Formats: sequence, C-alpha cells, structure tokens
Amino acid sequence: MVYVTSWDEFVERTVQLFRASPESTRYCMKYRHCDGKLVLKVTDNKECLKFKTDQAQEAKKMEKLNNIFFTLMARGPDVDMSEITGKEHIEAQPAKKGRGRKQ
Amino acid sequence: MRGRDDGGGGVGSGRGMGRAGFFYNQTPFLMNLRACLSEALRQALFGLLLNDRYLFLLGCFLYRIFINALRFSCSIASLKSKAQRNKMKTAEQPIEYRCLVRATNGKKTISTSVGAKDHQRFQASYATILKAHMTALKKRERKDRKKAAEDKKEGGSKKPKRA
Repeated sequence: MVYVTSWDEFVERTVQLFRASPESTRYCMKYRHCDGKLVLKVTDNKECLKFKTDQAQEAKKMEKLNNIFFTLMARGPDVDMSEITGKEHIEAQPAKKGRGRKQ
Repeated sequence: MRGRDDGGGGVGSGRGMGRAGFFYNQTPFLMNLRACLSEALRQALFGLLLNDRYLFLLGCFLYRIFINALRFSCSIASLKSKAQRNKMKTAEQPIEYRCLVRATNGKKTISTSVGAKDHQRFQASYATILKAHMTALKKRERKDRKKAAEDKKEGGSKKPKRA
C-alpha cells in the first residue's frame, strides 16, 4: 500500500471516501512504541488511504483528523465541514489546559 | 460491580492493572445509578464501555509501554438493525448515529460508543491521553528549533514555545 505523503491531500481524500460510503468506512490508527511510528489509515474495504509519521508535531494533525471523524461519525455524514473546523479552535485551548492539570 | 467485570467477556477486565485497579473498581460508585444500569445493559448487549471508563482503560493500556503496538479504530453505527433503519428512512425520522471506538493491544480489546452529544468532550480527552503517551515520536531537531526561534524573535515579539 502506498502512503499518502501530503497531509492536506490525505484529509481531503479521506473525507471524500467517508462521504461516499459512510457505513463501510472505518478509521484506524496504529501506534508502535518501539519504532516510534504512527500510522493513520482510512478504508472502505475497497480503497485504502494511509498516512505514516514519526514526528511529534504530527500528533496535532492526528488530533484534528480524530476530531473530524468523531464529528462526522457521531453526527452523521451530512454535517457541515466548516462547523467542525470552527470548533477545532475552540476545543484546542481547553485540551491543552487539561493536559497540564492531569499530569 | 466486580462480578460484572469478571463476566464481561474479557472486555477491559480490571486484572493486572496494578495500583490502578483500585480506582478502576471504585469508578462505578461515582457514577449515578442510571449510568450504571445503562452501562451494565450496554456491556451485556454490545460489550461497550461507558466513555469515561473507556478513556481510563485506554490510559492503562498506554501506561504499560512494553506492549508493542496499539490499534485504534472508529466506525459509524446507529445501533439499529438494517430493517429498522430502512423503516426510519421511509418514515423520514432522523437516524441517531453513534461512533464506535475501539482500542486493542493485541490481547485485550476495549470499546465504547460516542453519541452526538458528548463527542466533543470525548475527543478532547482522547486526544489528551494519546498525546501524553505517544512519547516515542521524534521531536523537532534542535537546529530547526533554534532557527525557528530566531525567526520568531526577528519577526514578532512572541516568545518561542518549547516543546
């Protein structure tokens, strides 16, 4: 399987994939600690899109994609995308605050 | 509570969690009765955990770092059969979607379902837990960071953030 190199392209294509077949699409994440690698995968059993990273900065991007997919899946595929991206900024701040307190 | 945990079909059993097991066993008492009941029902039906419990166990999974790989997945579900869904479609009722979230370390699997109401809260804590434990990912190289810091100093008055 070929990995998608560009993050923006990956997000765009995965959302398209989900919109096309919401009921069969799944989003998987694999984290291997000893290699320090994180692989994001979105597939609908016909097409498979993957993104691989070993950078800590990319964890933020993963969070964004998580947010997109949670919203799409919990609210149904017809949700407005601009709504999701708008909420991201609001959500990002309390998430950071919580991190400090918990540890 | 304990009896149910043992009979939970291996879904997030409290064994082997070490000290964390104490908190694990205490959590149900902190929830209200209705939540307990619905969780028991859900566990019996789908093996699903309540969101908070899922997050807690996820933390346990990640805490034990010697495990090699973790897989997470989420998919869409409406917790209704296809026939029911079709009926609702024809009756033009809105279908309530739920997001199934799973995590496995190869031995144990935990799962939960997230509804439209609490997906934001769940997402925030999920991301916090994941980011806190994914420590093996490479941080930015020092040269880059210094360069970035210099650029920022030149460009704006903001102090460079340290990772």
